[in-house]
Amino acid sequence: MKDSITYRLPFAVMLVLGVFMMVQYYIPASPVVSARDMLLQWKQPLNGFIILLAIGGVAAVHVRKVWKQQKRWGYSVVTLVSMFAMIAAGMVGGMEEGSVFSDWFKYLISPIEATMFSLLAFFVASAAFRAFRARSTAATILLVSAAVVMLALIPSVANHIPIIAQLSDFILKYPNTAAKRAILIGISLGAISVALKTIFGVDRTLLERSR
Amino acid sequence: MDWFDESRLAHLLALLGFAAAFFYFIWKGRRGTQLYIRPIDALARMDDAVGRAAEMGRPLLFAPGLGSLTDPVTVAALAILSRVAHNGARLFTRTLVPNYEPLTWPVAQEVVRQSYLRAGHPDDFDPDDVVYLTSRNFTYAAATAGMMMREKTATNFFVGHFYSESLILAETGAATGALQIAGTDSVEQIPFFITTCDATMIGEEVFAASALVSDDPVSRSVVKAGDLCKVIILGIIAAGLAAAILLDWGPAGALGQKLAGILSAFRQGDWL
Repeated sequence: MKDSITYRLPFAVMLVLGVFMMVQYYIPASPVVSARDMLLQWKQPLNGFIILLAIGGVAAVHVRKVWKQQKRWGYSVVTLVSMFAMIAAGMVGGMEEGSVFSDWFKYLISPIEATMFSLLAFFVASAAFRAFRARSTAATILLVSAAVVMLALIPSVANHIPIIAQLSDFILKYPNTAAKRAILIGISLGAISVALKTIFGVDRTLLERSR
Repeated sequence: MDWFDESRLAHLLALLGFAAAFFYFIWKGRRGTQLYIRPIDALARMDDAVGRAAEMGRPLLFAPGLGSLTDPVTVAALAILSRVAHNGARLFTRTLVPNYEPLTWPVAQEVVRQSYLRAGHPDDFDPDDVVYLTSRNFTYAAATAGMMMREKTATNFFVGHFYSESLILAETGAATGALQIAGTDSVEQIPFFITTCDATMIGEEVFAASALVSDDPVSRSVVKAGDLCKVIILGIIAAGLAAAILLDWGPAGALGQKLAGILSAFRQGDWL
C-alpha cells in the first residue's frame, strides 16, 4: 500500500501537470493562462530550496573530507572557506556595485573563469589537428571545407580570391544548414518522445526511488 | 473567451500524429511484437567501455550535461546513467557523476543508488561519488577536468546538453588516455565531441539510446514512432521540393502552385 502511494502519487502529479502543460499551449483562454503562470511561479521558491540543498550537499562532501582527513583535504578547506566567505560577504555587505561581494566576483571569479575560457583556444587547436588528419574520405572532406571556411574569414584572402568567399558562403548556407536542420528535426522528435514517455510513465527513471 | 489558438493547429496536428504513432508502437510492444531497431555504435561500445574500466581498476565518469530536468536530453542522460552505473556496480567499478544542476544532482544520486541496489551491491554505493559541483560552466569544466586527472578515470561519458565547456572536458579526457563516449543535442558541440571522443551519439541518437538501454520492449518500441514520423517529415520535405521545382517548370506550374498552396496553408492554419 505504501509503495503504491509513494509511486502512484508522484506519477499522478506528473501525468496531470504534464498533460496540462501540453494542452495549455493551444488554449489562450485567461483561466488557463493564469493557471499556467501560477504553476510557473511555484518554480521560483522551489529553485530557492534547491540552491539550499546544493549548498548543503557541497558543504557535506567537503566537511566529510576534512573530518576524515582524506587525500587532498586541504583543497576542501579552501572550498569551504571560499564558499562561506562569499555567502557572508553577499549577506552582510550586499551584492551591489562596489560591495565586497561584487569586487570578489569581478576580480577573483571572473578572471578565473576567463582563464578557463581562454584555454579553449589551445584545445580547439589540438582538436582541429586531430580532426584534420586526412585519414578517410570523410576526414578529407572535413579538412577541405574547414580550410575553405577559415581562409574566407581572412580579409585579404576573401578580397583577392572571391571564389573562396563564395565557396565558404555556399558551404555554410547549404550543406551545413541542411545537416543542422536534419539533426534538429531528429532532436525535436526524440525530445517529444522522451517527454511523452516520462509523462505517461513508460520511462520511470525519474521515479526510481518511488518504485 | 478564446478556447483554441488557431495559429497553432498545425502544431497540434503534428503532436497528435506523433502521439498516435507513439501509442500504436507501445501497443505493439505490449503485444510482444519484435521490432527491428537500427544499432547505435556508441551504445554498443558502452558495455565494453565499462568492462575496460573494470579491467584497469579505475573509475568511470559520467557527466550528465548542463541541462536541467526540464530538458528531455537530461532525462535521457539519466536513463543511460542508470545502465552505466548498473554495469559498473556489477563489475565493482565506481561511477563518478559531477553535476552542474542542483535539481539533477539528487535525482542522479538516486539513479546511481538504485543501480547499485539492482546489481546486488547496495553497500558499495558512495554518495560522495555523485556530487554537485557548481552552476557556472567553466568552473564546472575545471572541477570535472580535475576529477578526471586526479581519479584517472578509464572511461568518460558526456551525455546531455553542453555548451562551450564540452571541448575542455573532452580534450582533458583525451589527454588522460580515457576511452570517451559522448552524446548531445547541442548542435554546435557535436563536432567537438566527434573529433575528441571514441564514439558519439548525434542528436536524436541520445534519445533512442535512452530507450534502447532499457530491457523493456515497450520502452524500446517508442523509437519506432520517431522513425515513422521522420519518414512522414521526409515526405513533406519532398513534396515541398517538388512544389518548388514544378513552380518554375512551365507545363507543371499550376500543379506546383497548388501543392505549394496546400503546404503553405497547412503551415499557417489558413485552411480552417
